[in-house]
Amino acid sequence: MTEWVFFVAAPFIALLLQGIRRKLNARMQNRIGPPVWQPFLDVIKLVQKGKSDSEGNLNFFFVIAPIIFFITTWVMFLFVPFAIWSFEFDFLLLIYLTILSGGLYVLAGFASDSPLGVHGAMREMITMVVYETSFTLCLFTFIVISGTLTLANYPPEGLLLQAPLAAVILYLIGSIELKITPFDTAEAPTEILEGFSTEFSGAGLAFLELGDAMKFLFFCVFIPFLLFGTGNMWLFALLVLLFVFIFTFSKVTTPRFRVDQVVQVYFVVLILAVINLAWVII
Amino acid sequence: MDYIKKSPWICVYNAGSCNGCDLEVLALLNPKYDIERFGCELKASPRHADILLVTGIGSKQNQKRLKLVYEQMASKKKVIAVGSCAISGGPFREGWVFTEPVDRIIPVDMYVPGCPPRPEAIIDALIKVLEELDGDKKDKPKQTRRRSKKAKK
Repeated sequence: MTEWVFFVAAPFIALLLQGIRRKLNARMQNRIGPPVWQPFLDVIKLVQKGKSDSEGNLNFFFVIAPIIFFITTWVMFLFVPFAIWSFEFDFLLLIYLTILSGGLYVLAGFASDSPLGVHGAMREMITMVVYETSFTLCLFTFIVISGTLTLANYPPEGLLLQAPLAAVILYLIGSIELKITPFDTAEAPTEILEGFSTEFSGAGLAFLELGDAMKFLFFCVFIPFLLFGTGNMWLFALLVLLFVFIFTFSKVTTPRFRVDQVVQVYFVVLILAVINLAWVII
Repeated sequence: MDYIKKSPWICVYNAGSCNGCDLEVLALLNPKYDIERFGCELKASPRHADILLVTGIGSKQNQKRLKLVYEQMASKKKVIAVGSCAISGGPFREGWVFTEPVDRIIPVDMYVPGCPPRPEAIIDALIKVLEELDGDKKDKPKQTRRRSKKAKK
């Protein structure tokens, strides 16, 4: 029962978490900041407001990409943290879904028919080659250690001690997937006007915001799930909030890398992932 | 209820300003003034924004682009002209780049005088523009009918 309540409430929890994050962000900069329920108001406003006339509106993928993105991020909560929908190879499906949610950014960017959107999509594609590979390799480490491809059989005490290097890799991957500085090069609001979401407005933008918020919640849940397990639920919830704090702290305190620098950093992460996997197998 | 009042997103367009007004607009985001407490966010793309802040004289090179930025915004948009340049040309009125003030190029809802205006003045203009959005709602036929019925009773 709790599982289904969490799954249905996931968008609301995600938006609330986004509000907490914005409040935390403001308090770290010594500001008052928006109220905690601000993201709800933003989403309602965007749905209420009409679309602007963009040339992208004629493109089928431009209309459908935000909706698929939202559904994809929601479906990921069927597997993590509670295995609601469990079958034999669901770990692999989860890996595929996380990569798909990155790929939908690219689709949205190219479909938006704007040079800025295309720039964002191309930056995302360049970095995806490196970071999705290391993410998959890192998750294979956990599969090898736990010896299971089913998330329901995942050890509830977590696998931090067996693969300590994976913690660093997962943190770095999380920050590039969530577009958190210093690795938000694909979004870069001050350079390329938020990249792929430049042309979106109205309900499309609302779905993108919702999807982003849910992706943030997913990574804040997924990393503690892999490293510390869901044995003690209170400890698990605390760890989720700790990851929210860490990601927000990173966002407030760091400037942005260039694209080539990001790729260099993630080549090092890729090498670390390979070392991690080799160490576990040997 | 109109939720634009609760989360107005702002886009800044520099139409040939000397950067003085832009610095004052940026000061809105600092800990002292902090417009994010009203739910405002400074958005880079005009398509996301509800309120456009225009600074500068709207020079010859800028007029086409200013119109384009205005057209790109979704409906229910408001424009605030920030600084005396945007209102009348200010110190550049005699210059050869100045042809006409910003309100002849796009419709302007609120003017903030000053060279540059203080951040408090810009916040005041923002809040007044948001109140104006409520004023638009009062003009809708449904509400006026109800009122007239009550008045007859």
